[in-house]
Amino acid sequence: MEIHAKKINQQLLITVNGRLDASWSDYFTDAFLAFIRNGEHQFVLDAKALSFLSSAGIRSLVRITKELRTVEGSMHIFNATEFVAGTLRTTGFGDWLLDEIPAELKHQNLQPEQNALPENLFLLDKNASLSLKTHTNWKPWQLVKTTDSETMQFPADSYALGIGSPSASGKLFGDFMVVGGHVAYQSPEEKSRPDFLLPIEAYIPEMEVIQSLRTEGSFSHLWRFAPDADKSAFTIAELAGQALSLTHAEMSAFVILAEIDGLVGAHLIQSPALRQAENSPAFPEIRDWLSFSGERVFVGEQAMIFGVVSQHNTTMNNDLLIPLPSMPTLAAHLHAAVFPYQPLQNGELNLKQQLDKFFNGPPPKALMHLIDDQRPEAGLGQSSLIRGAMWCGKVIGKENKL
Amino acid sequence: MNLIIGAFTIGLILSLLSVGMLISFKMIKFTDITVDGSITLGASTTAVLIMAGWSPWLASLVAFLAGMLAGSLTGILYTKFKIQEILAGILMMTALYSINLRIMGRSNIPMLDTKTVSDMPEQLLLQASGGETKMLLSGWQVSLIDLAVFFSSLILVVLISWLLYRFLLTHFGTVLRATGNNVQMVRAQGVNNNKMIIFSLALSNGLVALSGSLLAQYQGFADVQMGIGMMVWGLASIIIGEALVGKPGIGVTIAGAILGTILFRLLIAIALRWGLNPNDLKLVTAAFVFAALVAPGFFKSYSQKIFKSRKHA
Amino acid sequence: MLSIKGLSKTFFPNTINEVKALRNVDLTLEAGSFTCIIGTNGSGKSTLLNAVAGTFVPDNGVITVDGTAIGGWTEYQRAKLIGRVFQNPFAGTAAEMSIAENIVMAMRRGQSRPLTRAVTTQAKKEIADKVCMLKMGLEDRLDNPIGTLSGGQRQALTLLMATWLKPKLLLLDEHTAALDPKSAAKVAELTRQIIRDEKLTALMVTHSMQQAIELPDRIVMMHRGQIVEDYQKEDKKRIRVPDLLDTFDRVQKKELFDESVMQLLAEQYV
Ligand SMILES: Nc1ncnc2c1ncn2[C@@H]1O[C@H](COP(=O)(O)OP(=O)(O)O)[C@@H](O)[C@H]1O
Ligand SMILES: [Mg+2]
Repeated sequence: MEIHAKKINQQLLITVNGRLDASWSDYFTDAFLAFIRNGEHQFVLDAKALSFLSSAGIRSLVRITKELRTVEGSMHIFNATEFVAGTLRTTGFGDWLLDEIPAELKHQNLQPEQNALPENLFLLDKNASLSLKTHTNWKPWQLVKTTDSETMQFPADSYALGIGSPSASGKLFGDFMVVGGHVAYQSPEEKSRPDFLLPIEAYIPEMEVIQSLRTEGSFSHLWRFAPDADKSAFTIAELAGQALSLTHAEMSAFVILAEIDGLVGAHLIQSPALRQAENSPAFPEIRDWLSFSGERVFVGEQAMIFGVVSQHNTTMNNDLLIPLPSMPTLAAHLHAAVFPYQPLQNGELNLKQQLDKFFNGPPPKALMHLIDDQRPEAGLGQSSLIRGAMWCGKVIGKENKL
Repeated sequence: MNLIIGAFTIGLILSLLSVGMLISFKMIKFTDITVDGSITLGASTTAVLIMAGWSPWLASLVAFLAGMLAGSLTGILYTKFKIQEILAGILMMTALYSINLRIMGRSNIPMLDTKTVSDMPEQLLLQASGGETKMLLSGWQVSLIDLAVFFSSLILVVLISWLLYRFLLTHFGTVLRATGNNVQMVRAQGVNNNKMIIFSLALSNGLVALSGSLLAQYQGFADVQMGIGMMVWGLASIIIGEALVGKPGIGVTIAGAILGTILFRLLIAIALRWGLNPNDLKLVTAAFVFAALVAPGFFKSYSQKIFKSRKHA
Repeated sequence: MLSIKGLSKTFFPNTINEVKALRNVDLTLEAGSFTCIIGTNGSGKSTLLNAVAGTFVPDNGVITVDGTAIGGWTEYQRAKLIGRVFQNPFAGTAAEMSIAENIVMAMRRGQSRPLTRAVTTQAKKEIADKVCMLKMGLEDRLDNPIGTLSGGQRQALTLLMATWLKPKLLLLDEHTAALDPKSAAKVAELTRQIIRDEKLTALMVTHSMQQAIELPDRIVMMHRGQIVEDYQKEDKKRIRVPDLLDTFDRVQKKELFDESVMQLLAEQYV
């Protein structure tokens, strides 16, 4: 089987040559899913040379259509042979068939392939902003005192990151992040996967927190980023810098949903509350407290990142905003949750809907504090992302120290 | 005819050497060079004891035991002191050269008019023939004494081979054979493989020494040089035997070694008759073994060729 | 049943080739339990089994089987208590000897070897009965040299031999690794069946995560000569192949966590 793709206006014209049966259906499906991943959502399939379609082939088409539905895409077939058209009609998929060749394809004035999608910027609400509250009672690696922790509720407009424990879990302080009132929390154990607390009906998620950067409010901008010929991925420093420049602020908060090019990070694997000694753990004992990703991980999965970034010299800075070695004019703190890959719809996205979709879908695989690893030789670099969406907003107001 | 019976008799006597070497070379796959020394050891002890008036039977038994001792020492050098097998054999062989000289007190002992193990059958045959020392065998004049020696050797060799055959089929013998096949497996079955190797070398060299003992009695002398090249002769016999019978069960293998030895002696007798210089004998034998070693498929393919042409005919 | 305390072994000590193959390993197996060892290549799995079997003398540590310290025993003395199957299908049998002869040797594992006939008609009948269980048609080929059989058949027979006399401990070192997938599955199933039916205490090294999940009661993971994970009872029931792979990942990640990482995290994290 041969598959050729050509971009025509907003549609991708696919020409298929051969038999779509059990032996080719996986190949066909994978090829389509790769197109979808690349941001192509409108397909027309030229089936002139498609000589055979088996039920495995139909299953493959159904699978593709389902995938397209989640991104509001479409797929249509034209030029089908009698056999293929007949098979589709008898199996109830006749509405995929186009009776005639789509108008834009008729003249075959095919444009050169466009790889780079235009960068899309959406102004959501130019007055939107977020307020910041910092909680830094616990300083690493002091003993955790009862007065260090504060019980916090996270209503729907709160976005936060830090170290805390679900109230019911005792003192299992681990890394967490909050996006739109949804809490994802990595319990401090090596083996476990992240847990999450969702705002269902009247329930407002609650955490006992020893360290946090917490913002409340809404975002002003949405930027859809995607690779082009010169740029294959976006580093977190670039994205954070973009958030600051889009919002013209000294400090910004942002949420990113994007396909992962590679993450570098760390998380707690033992609750600091268990620490007996006042000093920080030495090597190699430190390995029992922290886990480091060790390589660029979760390639191809979907990241949900919450971060706060500030200009390095601003008075709003605090201990939790750490200068980025690769861009020393910025100080930032980012936590990322990793979800299995799901395609994102093109264009303007609603954050609330996306959060519901992700938190109600397959559970997150990991949660980590992102590290900008610029060690000489061994350095893994920064985390970077391929394509996705970033919602960002200005952070205002003096912080309220507790 | 006498020549042929002589060749048969020497073949039978030396077949104990081949059968002994079968144990070290084929069963436990140990390249044992002690052989050259232990065959002389058997001859020298026998000669000295018989000259001292011992019964030839007892002298043969002592020769057998002396050979066992030599073999086990090689085994101990190899297992306990971790000396390579060839080197262990060379050490033992070299040491035995001096020991043999010591035993005999000089480089050879002639044994004229002494008793040998074939005395009793000789008496029996002579009585049966009513004092005739010669008899006609299908038109050939044959010495009765030669016949007696031949038959006594035959009986002895058959008896020993049969005992060995039965032994190799016992639990102990089975493990012995496995030792040459797969030492790891033998250890995993709870067997002390080192003991097996020592015992096998003892048994092997015991038979070799017995062969030397009988040879001395047959030839009527023991010579400190007589062992030189015996290992290669034995090897040649084993190779011929293998070519004759292929590689089936143990019984047939033993029979093959015996037949191989006899055939080899006959070939030598014929070659000598045709005028081969006896000094070249060892060279020819070595060349033969070399050829057999580098072309292991030689005999097989040859016999197959014969077989095929017969089939077609 | 088996108790290992503080077992250590360093090959080529104090040279550039020094390998710490075992570092202070503790492991206790209960009677009748079936444990799998998994771990990356060179993590010391075989070395651990060899130490128990007595292939070499460890630098440190005490090994007891059924309460008896066997540290001073030779390999062949330990064979009285221990049955073994090796990775190499040719290692467990004597190739030039017949199936019957091989098995007859195993029927007296660790016992005296008398001067009576080994392969008797009665022994053959007994062998045929048991070999039948393998469903490989070998009962009709008892007189064939075992070297004429396939790797899978030889490994099945080796397993039968190792367990013919019930061993106090059965050691299996990647005994399906060198087989084709079909034979491997068959031998794995046979292993499970024999261990279960005879209620054997078994320690098995496997490279197959699937086997480690399906066969044993307990999974032990080794890395760099140490036991780094031990899944027993409830933990073992819960665990699946991806969890094992995750654990491997984690163990390897820990390796990459060096002092420069510690410095990095101190600057950018906690
Ligand atoms: N007899 C030996 N001599 C030297 N090094 C050895 C020996 N046996 C094992 N090793 C080394 O010990 C380490 C552990 O080996 P092994 O136990 O075979 O690992 P595996 O877990 O793959 O079975 C390896 O680095 C190996 O090279
Ligand atoms: Mg191994």
